[in-house]
Amino acid sequence: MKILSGIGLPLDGSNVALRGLGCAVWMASRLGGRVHVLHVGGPAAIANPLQALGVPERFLPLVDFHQANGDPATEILAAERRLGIDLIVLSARGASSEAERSDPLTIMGHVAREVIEKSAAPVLLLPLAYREALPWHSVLVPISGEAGTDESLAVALQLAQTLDLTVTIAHVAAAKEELGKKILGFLSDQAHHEYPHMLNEYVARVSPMASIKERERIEDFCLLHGDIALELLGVIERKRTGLLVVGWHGQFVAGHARVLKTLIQQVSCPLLLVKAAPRQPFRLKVGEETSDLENPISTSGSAG
Amino acid sequence: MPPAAAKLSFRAVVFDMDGVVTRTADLHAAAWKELFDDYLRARADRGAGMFEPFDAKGDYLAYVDGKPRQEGARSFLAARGITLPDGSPDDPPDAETIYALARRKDELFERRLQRRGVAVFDSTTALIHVLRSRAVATAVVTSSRHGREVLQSAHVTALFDVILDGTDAARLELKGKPDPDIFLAAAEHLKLAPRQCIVIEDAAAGVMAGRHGGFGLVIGVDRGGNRQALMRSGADIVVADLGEVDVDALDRRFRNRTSASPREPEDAWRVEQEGFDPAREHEMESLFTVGNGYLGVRGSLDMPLPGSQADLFVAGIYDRKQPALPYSELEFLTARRDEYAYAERVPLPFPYRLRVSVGGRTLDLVEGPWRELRRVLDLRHGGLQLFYLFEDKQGRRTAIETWRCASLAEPHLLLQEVTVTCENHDALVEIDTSLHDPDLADHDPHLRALVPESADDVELRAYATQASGYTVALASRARLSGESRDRVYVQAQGKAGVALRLRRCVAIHTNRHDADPIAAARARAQGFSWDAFDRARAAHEACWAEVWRSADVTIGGSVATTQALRFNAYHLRIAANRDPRTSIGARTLSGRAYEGHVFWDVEIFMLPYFVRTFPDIARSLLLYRYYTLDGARSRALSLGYRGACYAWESTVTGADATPRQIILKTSHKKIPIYTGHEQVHVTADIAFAVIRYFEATGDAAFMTEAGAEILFETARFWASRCVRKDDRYHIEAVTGPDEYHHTVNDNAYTNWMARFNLEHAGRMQRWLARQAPEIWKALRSKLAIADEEPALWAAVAEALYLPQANASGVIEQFEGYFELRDYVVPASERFHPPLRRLFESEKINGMQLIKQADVLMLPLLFPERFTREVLAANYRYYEPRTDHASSLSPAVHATLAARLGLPEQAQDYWRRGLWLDLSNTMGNGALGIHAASMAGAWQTLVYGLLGIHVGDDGPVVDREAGRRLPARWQSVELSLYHHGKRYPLRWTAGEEER
Repeated sequence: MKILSGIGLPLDGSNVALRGLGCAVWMASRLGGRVHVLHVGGPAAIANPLQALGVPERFLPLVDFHQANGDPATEILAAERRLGIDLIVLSARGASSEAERSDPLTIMGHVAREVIEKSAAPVLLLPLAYREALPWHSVLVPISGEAGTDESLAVALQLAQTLDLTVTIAHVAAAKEELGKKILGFLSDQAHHEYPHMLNEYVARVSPMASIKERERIEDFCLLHGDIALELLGVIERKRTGLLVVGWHGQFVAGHARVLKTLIQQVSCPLLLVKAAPRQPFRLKVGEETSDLENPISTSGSAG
Repeated sequence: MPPAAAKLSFRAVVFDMDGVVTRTADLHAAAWKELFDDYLRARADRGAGMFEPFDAKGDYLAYVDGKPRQEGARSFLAARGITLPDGSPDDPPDAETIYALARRKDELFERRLQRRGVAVFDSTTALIHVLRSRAVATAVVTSSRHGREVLQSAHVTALFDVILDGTDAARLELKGKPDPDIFLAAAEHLKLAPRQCIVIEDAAAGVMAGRHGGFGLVIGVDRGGNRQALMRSGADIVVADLGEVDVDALDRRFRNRTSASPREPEDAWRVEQEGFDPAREHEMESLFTVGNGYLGVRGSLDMPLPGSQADLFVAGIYDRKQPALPYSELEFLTARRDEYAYAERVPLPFPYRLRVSVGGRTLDLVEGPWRELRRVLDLRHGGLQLFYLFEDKQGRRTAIETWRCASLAEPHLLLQEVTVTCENHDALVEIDTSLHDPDLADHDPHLRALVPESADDVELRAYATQASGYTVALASRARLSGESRDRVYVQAQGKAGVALRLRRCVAIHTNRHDADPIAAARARAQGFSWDAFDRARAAHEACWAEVWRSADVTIGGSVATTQALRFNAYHLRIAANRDPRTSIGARTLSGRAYEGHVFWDVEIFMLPYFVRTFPDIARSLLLYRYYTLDGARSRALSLGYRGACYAWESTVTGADATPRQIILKTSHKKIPIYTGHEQVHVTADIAFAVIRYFEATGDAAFMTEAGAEILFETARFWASRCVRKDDRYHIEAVTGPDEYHHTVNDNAYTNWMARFNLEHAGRMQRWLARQAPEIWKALRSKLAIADEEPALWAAVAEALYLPQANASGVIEQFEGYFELRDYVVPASERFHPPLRRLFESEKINGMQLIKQADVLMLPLLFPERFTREVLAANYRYYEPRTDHASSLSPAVHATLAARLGLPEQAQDYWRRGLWLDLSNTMGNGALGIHAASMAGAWQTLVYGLLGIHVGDDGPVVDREAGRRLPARWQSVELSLYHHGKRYPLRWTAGEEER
């Protein structure tokens, strides 16, 4: 895993987009990286384009300017590959942020949505009610129990180590009736409701990739029951969370990412959205010839 | 195609139609969109909810893609919180039912199909042509009722041997995907088994169907944004287009996938892991440990990850407890115990550590990108091979192959060979063999690095433990092939396709055996001649050939069972030493669990194995108890008793190393541990093992020199530990093998074992006085045994209360057990480590729930003392109340079930024990393998399933064995030692012979 050193910040000239500059520069300075300001569309000022976009003088040594023309999302994604950007800082809504907030369909501008869905790099998303509170002191990593979201913990531990943050891990077991309704019966996190020990297994799962020092950043495990978004909001308030690191599947369409959408509407700290890395195939060639059941490992890695 | 196209292993490919062969998905999506948008808008107009249009991409993929129409409609509406009645197929198109909506969608689709026609994916038809030219059959399936029409309209029907569409599915009453019915029907029409076929699908539900159907390989086709879902649903490979598929590469994947279970005889000599799963890496490190009993090195990657548990353990090297290290589970911590300098076995730095870079880029799994990783344990020769293939974004491939062993011929010596090949490019290759670990304090907190004087060409590292006064020295030499001097760091110009080979030897010495371990390690490394590398390897492998002569068990008819038995035998051998000052920790030299402590596991579970395979190792293990007698004596004294009371958990001196409490890492809750004070049965277990060893070997020298003293001192302990009440002796305030119940009186197992101990001490005293009067005299004087003492042992044994079978034939586990709240364990609560149980220990203490065989240990160890009826009654009573939270439990139940003529239960329990580590049944393999379970599985095979009886003429297989063995076994071959002679034994199905 690479440390995040190339930070992309798309700016459109609006104050809303500019809100991300503070934390982008703060992270770049701590991580020894650079901020790549991407200006898409509209003619850039020929002289001092960064100042024209509102970048204060003191930040200039860490910031590079890139101009592109075309569809903003496409250009941001192209710049991600071209410039080797490994973190994109983005406002949930750009210039059009004055739209009605309570409507879940409008919490995210179409550019932001396309970028978070398609980018390979994690996205630091500034929610609607974002308030800059630097430096951050603590990270919250909610875990759902799905193996696909392990990546978020690995990234959180690494960031915590380099940015000197403490890490809280939270798992919210949904209320019982809600569980019963789940389709297809894939209660992949069922085991994790039972005992905090299971949370350690998450840590164990990422631990070969994380150093002891990184793992020592974990300050607390929270096991909660109830409405996932509400419980997480409670933890964010109690722990004064500076950064929320969320593993997700990458689809923001209707019916998906409900908790994430609620959080984007309600929290004031940034959300680092980390997509699950593709799972590597894994096999241990042992077990009986006749039955997979007697050898649970030969079927591991499939559903769930 | 290669010039002479090889025959392919798979026989057929079953294609999904929409999205794989034909481009109808957009027609379908558009039809669905029109249908749902009309419907949802009409609902919104009626005031039933807000209008939120159907997303032709997201909703289509998530809810309807690949499913039959009705299911698609139901699933999408459910996601919007809408439930409609199913209705019937005859509903008019405007009815508000599932059937009507589905029908309307069908009409909309048909209209579009006629208007626009169907396109096909040219890459797919090209693949089909190649497959057919190589004698692979093809089939196409679809849930669409229009399947045939669509294929005809696309002019591709001739490309398929079998076509099944929605009409066929309805006729054959096949369930929709993710049920595998339609794929299975296709395979059946092709007259092939599913495992001979490949499924190609673009929908998650279809991939799942292929997986559930047991198809040999499932390929997902991701036409955009669906890769994760396809992988999660179980696709072996996901491609963006079938143009990426090369038939020969596919064949390799197919063979790999279908050969997951070992099949060929040679597979039974190796355990192979392919790919990488961070969640299981620590467990793999345990399984792939190499060692020789003197030391063990976990099977970590040569280029360790930041969090690798890359430990070296040297038997007998312990130090003060470090509170950050786990106890038996990752979750369990124990506090410092500064009063004891040997509380915890010391993890030492990884001796095979490498850093490899090619063209300035570090090659390891963190940096990547890598394409292949394989780890192969060569059981026959006791070596571990690793194969890594890295490929960067420019397509430059570099292969690294390594081999390592811990010499069985020369226990202080490790060998390693590394081959680096730039497959298709030229680049500077750098290999750094330095053993320096910059994070020593984190990885190995017991150690303080010493700075030994450097020696030419030899890298010397030495470490001192914090409190126990041990020094461990490592001396490493490495040489690149073709060079004339050794270097710690080598660099060479890598040429495409040319392998660079480096060899390394590492010598390890400690001040346990050498006054100056640094000098000893240096001398051994310097004395090593590179010319002798192959000879050193051959000597090591010759020792392994010797091991297998004694330890091999082969099962005719089951390669996988042979493989598992050999894997277990391998681990038992590398755990064991001929150093009488050390014994085997519960998780051997393969992991950190239990702080490296030695338990009753050795005497009751492992010793019966070693006695019959490596009697000299069995002797050495018992001598460890002889050399720790002083510790046991001090312990008895400190507890207010006489003689020797062995520690429940023992390390160097024999003092008790059991923690007094466990601290849960997440909640910081403290749980008291009673076993250290109370699990006194270990003292009698050791005496029992001394007797059984003597019976099996006739080793009178051992008995006179060491065994008798153990027996006398332990008998003395019991004579003082038993309490006289009325006219009987009782043993109070103990914990039996079942650790869920502490501070109980008259635990049946403890009392039986104590009586055995007392009786046999008396017998052995008479034997010794007769056989070797001088030695008896000397011993009597050394131990100050009063004349009346042996009579006292006999008297206590005679009057010791032994719980007897009640009217139903059941022996009460301890006084008052039957009055506890009854509890029968549901299947879901079995075979887990005792996490929750410990959490609720006081509640459990009041229930009949037990952790492992307790009373049932008695018929296991004393089969001749219990009638079949009593055995059956106790098995029936206790088995349902046991949750097997101990890995020691399955083997006991398996053996008894075999004796009772319950072959299915016996085999089931036996498999659990046999594959306990290879399937990570307990979920805690990361902290080391479970040696007692391995030896227990061997005991079940020998004494339970085969029913081997050892008489004066040696071992004999029971004539009825065939009734208890799995039906597909054709033969079993093994050998057992008895009184110094090795007896080869063979059972063959159908002929009952020895």
